[in-house]
Amino acid sequence: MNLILNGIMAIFWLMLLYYSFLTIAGIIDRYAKQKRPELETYPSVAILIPAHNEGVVMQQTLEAMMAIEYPGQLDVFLLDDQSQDDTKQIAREFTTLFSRIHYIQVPKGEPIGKSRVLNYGLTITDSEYFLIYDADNQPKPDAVTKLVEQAVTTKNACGAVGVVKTINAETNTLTRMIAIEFQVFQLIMQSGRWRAFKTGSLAGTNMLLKRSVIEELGGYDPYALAEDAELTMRVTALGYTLPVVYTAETWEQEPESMKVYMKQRTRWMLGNIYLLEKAFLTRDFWRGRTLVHSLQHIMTYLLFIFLLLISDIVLILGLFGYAFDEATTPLIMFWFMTYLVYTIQILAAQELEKTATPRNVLIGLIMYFTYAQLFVILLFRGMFAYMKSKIRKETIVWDKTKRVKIEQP
Amino acid sequence: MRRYNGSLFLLLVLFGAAGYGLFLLERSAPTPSVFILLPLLLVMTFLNGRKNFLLLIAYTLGLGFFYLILSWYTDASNEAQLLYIEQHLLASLLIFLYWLLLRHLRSVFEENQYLTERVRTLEGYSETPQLLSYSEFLDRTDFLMAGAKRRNETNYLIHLRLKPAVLNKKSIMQLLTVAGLRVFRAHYDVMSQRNKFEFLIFLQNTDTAGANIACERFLGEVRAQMTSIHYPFDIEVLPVKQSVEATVRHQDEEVVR
Repeated sequence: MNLILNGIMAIFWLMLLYYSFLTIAGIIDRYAKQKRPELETYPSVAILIPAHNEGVVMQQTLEAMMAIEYPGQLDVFLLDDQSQDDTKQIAREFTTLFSRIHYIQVPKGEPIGKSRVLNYGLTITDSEYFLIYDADNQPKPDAVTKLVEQAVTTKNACGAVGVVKTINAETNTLTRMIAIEFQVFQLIMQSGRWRAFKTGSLAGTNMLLKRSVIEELGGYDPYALAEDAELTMRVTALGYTLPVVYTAETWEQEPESMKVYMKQRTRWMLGNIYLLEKAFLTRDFWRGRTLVHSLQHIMTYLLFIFLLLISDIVLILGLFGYAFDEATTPLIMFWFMTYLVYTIQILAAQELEKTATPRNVLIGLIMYFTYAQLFVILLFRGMFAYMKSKIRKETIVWDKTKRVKIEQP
Repeated sequence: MRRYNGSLFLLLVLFGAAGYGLFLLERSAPTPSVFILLPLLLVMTFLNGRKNFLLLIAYTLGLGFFYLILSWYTDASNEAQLLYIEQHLLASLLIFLYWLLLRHLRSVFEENQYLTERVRTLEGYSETPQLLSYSEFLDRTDFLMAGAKRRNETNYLIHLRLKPAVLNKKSIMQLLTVAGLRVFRAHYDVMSQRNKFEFLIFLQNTDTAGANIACERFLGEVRAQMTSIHYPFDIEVLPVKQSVEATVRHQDEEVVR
């Protein structure tokens, strides 16, 4: 029993050390000044926006696209994947007025999902770089320029990744927690990995890539539900880097109800389980910088949740009087350290982002006991759905996140 | 101010309470955390906010790992582990409060510095109280000149230049300022000090006779405050045609000739 426990604790040790190291590296990286290089000529960029029934958010998104300032050729392609609402009408109003906006009707096809739509978008454009924005995104006017400048001037870069901020963070506790989670991911994980290993990971949105690279890779994997994470692995395996540009910001909305959240995150979990399976079968995913992403994936979507479950069990048993007195490992201290590292990351991200209000700090202090626990449920939901699809030999169907109308300030 | 005092007091009380709590805990079972803590607090006093935040995070995590290793190495009982957690929380809280305290003091200092700058800019006055800075003086006279031009009015400048032998320039300038304020400010005329030697009074909407009368009134006010029968400055009444700056420059050239 003690041998098993010590084995688990050894993994615990590694994770705690790794995340603590990333936290420090992330803070150092964020505090370092990011130089803004200027280019003599700016390459052509195509913005691809996959859309399916996005009428609720489309007008604000296209207005934001029109506000983008870019010194080179910039075209925006709205890739409409069989929308049944007023997405087309809204888009048409823009295309008749502005040459920058293009409306593209994506033909029906299988498998349904973002990857297939993006692959189609790539076939009808010919720009040097392409940039993905989700249909609810409102990037800042200088975001594209900043991404391009870093992508062109960073050694061996195949693109660049910006920052995603939550437009409806103040709506309720759930959106606030999601916003905090995003901050931790981007301000600690991303920047820490960039500082320590010179490798970034693609987000599903606000990401710029060189066309030649995606062509070299053969396009998006249409079966990948977490297409950003999957592409990150393949791009990194080829030896390319992805600089993280903190000042290239986009705003997007996050689920406001638990039902929508669970649906979205189950899809993400399924995508990540698919990627874990692919990683175990692909030798290239365990070499060089790709190893960082593979390990990160295993730690985040497997080990962390597994250990979270164990710590919950220990805590519950402890509450029922089982003291683990004979354990040769300091279980209480391990539990405390897990909470400490998790919470320190949140507080550090809040301080870096200047969002450390008393309410946010309080929410940060309880997130380990609330928000983090959702991942245990998500892992079980994801595993169950994944196994079911394997047994039935079915393709997992893409499920679009439901949007809400958010009034502009 | 009351707000600042309140938060400062609260931070100090919490800092003291956390320090006392840690002292009580460490008195029974001292750990190296205290020995690291004291020099760290000292170092933080001299570092900037960013470095202090990094130190705060590194210390909190490092101390956690230290207690974890200690618990493992000593095969600590559940009670001992709980004690370590208490010590960690108090030590981390202490350093966190100190970081907040420093940040608070720095923010008050920076805000004070910023407000002083703002007040100086907004008021546009030089170090001498109620006297316009030279650039503000030029801006304001340009504005007045534009209006006067539309109304076909004429403007004059009283230009005072201290004699080179004058010793107490600062006091004489102070005297001129006070006298000028008494005589002119009530009539919305403007005054400034071009440098340590030159004093300017802009008279709007007047003619030569009016400017001379104003000058005499000003000199009368000055004379009332002086014991010497000789003025320690040269004074001229000049018509302003284009701008004050052009008039003064032209006068400079005349002096050189």
